[in-house]
Amino acid sequence: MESIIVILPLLVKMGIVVAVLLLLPLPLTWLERKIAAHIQQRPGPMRVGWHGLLQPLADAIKLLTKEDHIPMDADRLLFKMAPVVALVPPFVVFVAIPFGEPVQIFGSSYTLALSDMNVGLLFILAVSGIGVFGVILAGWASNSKYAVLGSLRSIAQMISYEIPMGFSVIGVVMLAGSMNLSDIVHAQDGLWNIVYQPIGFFVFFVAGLAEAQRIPFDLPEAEGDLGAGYHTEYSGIRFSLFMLAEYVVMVVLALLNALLFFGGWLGAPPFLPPALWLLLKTGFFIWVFMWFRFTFPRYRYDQLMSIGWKVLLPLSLLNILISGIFMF
Amino acid sequence: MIPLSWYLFLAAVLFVTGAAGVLLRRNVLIVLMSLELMLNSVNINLLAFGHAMQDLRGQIIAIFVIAITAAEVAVALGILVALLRRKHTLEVDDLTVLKG
Amino acid sequence: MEREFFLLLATVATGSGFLVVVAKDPIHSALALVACFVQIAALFILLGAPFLAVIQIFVYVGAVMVLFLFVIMMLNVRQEALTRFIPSGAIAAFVVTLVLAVEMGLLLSWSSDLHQLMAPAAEPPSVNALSLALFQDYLLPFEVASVILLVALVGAVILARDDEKADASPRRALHPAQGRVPGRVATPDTMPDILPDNGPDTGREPDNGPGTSGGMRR
Repeated sequence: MESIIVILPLLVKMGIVVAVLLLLPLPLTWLERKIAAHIQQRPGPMRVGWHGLLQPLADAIKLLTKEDHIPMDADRLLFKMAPVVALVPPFVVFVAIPFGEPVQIFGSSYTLALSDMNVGLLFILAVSGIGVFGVILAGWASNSKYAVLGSLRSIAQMISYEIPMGFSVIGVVMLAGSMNLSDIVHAQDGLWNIVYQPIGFFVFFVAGLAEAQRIPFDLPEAEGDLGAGYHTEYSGIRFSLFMLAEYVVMVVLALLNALLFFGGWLGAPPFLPPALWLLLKTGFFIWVFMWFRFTFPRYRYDQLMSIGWKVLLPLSLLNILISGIFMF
Repeated sequence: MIPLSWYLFLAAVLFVTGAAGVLLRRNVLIVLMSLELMLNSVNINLLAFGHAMQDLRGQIIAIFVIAITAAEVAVALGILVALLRRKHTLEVDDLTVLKG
Repeated sequence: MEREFFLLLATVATGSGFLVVVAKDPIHSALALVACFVQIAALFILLGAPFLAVIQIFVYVGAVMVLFLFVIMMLNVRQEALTRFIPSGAIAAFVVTLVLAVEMGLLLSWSSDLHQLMAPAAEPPSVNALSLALFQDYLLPFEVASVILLVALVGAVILARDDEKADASPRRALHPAQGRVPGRVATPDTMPDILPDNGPDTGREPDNGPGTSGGMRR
């Protein structure tokens, strides 16, 4: 009986996180299309609901009612498993992310994280690395040349950019003295980490863009150039699961940028509650990601790989060196 | 809580499964994967004893095992790719280049 | 609660370990191994080693298994021609494995010390303590391990590099007559140039293929 009392807050938190994350891509797709439209000086979706607010709903209905088509001689089990395997790791990342200070409800204090673990940051990086498997399975199981090519490029891109992403946060860990995300946010009480770690932020931001496969690094799934890459053969609800995964990854990266480099939930406390500060900063980063998408062209694949290995990796090592020298 | 012997039994089961895979399978890639299974069972053993005796050395040696295993897999797969480029077969019985 | 977690994790680990050895398709085998590694990482957390658990996911699942899957996809061989188990000496190997299993089981159950209950850790050793031990007492093995990793990196790149640029036939992973899986169209032998800088005209900027913006100049 007493284990139920221990588990219940955890279950409630899990339920809230999963529900919010499943519903979040709906307004995000609308936002993306509206931002695209206004950057390109056109109105965007305007018909379905006031200013197109119900457009994501219409898209969802369209996707859910499409024919479920599996290519001939595809590996059926892997084909069906791939969207689920792509969807789970971004959700698991939210286990280690804190959303604010511990809140007091009915006298007892609850942390706003599913699990405030001491290796939180490393856990997030490790689980982001599992996201590669969805791409592998999708490409291989589709039994289609475009899909395999796209998935091989995607995998190579994702594993190449994991390394500078990991190295760039070492400076943050050095400053905070801990890998616990709450400790990292509290260590930014004086000045935000962006002041102390500009190179680290630059590398992490760019590597995060490449991990999320957003422009300018989205060649592996570039619709015009490579036939939609690893999810070429997917349609309907399976495709929507891939898109869902991609939006959740984008939200994760925006959250991490805000938590690690921009002070997390710290802000002038009387104005807004801490969780709202975090929400604002995350929203800012999501807007920046979408802004970049419709402003920049995309990199060619060999340029992409050379940026990851020849520019970002040395920069992140340089960052560690400089941080070490300054801290000494 | 959990007796030490349970962890050792699990490690033994995984080790024997891996050994069976190494000895019995024909596809050389699956042989390598079974080898990985055996190395992981060794890690479970190390950590179980480290936890039971409250000794950090279990974790440290496990870190080294993981690092060296990663290096070994990289080299093994490199050798495989170089070998298979000419032999065109993945069956262990046919990979007899070093046979005297 | 710990016992239930351990039993669940151990069951799934044993089941997926068995699948690794028994599956016909190497990709299914690799995925079963990934599942096994994740269970083992969870077991490491039960054993009070959260750092090791995360390193296991990072290195094994995130790097080693991706490498395996890459190689399996590149070296795809006709599956129907491949029987699963070796034809000769299989009986002897099976008997030896069985003897090993029985021996290990008996030794474990006869030992009296090993049935002691594990002391629940007062405080699992922090990452701080682990890093102090690693960088003070075990500095030399650490440096040697990093040199080994460097050597492995260089070695793997050299081994896998293709030196047959002068070959007349286009570079293929497998001979087409031998390698084609019936029905499987996307195999390396039907797509000789997987990565753009392995083709015959490396370095020349492609002017209208995949990888450019369809002919539009920036």
